Amino acid sequence: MRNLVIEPTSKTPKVILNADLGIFEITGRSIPEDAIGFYRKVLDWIEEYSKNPLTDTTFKFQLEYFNTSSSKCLLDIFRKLERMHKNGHKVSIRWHYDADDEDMAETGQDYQALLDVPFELVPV
Amino acid sequence: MSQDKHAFVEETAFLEEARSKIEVVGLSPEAWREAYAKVIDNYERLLKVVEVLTHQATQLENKLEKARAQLELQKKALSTEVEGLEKQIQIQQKEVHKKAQERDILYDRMGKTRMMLIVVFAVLLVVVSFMVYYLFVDTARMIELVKQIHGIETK
Repeated sequence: MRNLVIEPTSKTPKVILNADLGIFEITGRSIPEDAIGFYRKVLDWIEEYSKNPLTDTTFKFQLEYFNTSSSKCLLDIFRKLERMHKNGHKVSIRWHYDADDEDMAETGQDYQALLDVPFELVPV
Repeated sequence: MSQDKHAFVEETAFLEEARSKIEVVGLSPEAWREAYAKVIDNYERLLKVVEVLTHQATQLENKLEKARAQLELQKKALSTEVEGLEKQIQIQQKEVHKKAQERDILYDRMGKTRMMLIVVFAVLLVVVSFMVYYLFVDTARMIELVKQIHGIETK
């Protein structure tokens, strides 16, 4: 399947979804006006990927700031990954956050509590 | 807002599905129980999502409020700095004005001194001219004058 790479802007994060190299990352700032439109491509890509995933999929998230719409989109991504996990695939999520950013740590904890998928909090 | 509506596509689809179940006639109690359990599951999940989103929205509001307060502080600090700079400019302007006045006075004095020097030089020139004239051109007259002076003095 084709890889998905979206370069970052001042309002959108960098997205690397590379099944060949096993890199799955969303990093940066996410405050797009149309978060749903932005994450649609990501969700579609994951949906397609979930049909035939790698043996081990580790998704890295490292966001410095994001709006509420993006948060809902992230939840949708997590749900898809959770579904993959429930379907017997090895999936894990790594939530990287600035060690000084308590809010981002809390957000990670919120997601962690909500999901039934390995979810690791990684202070950086 | 309309864009945000699309953020709940799955939830909306489930709602429609649940709603359509009511229309179905002759559903077995087992099927009803199953459908109801699904509604509860989805409702519970949605409630958790709402809790998370509400919590994050509050965090964002707090962040914005902090940023606003910080901006306010920076604005005040900048205003104080600008006021200080304006005062300094006023002081500097007064200083420049004072210096300009001092310079004018100095130029005035220099002008007067120059004029005096010219006059002194002119007088000296006249005196020297007379001396040169009587010493080298009209020596006889010079001697006569000296004698006359000497005579007056001896008298």
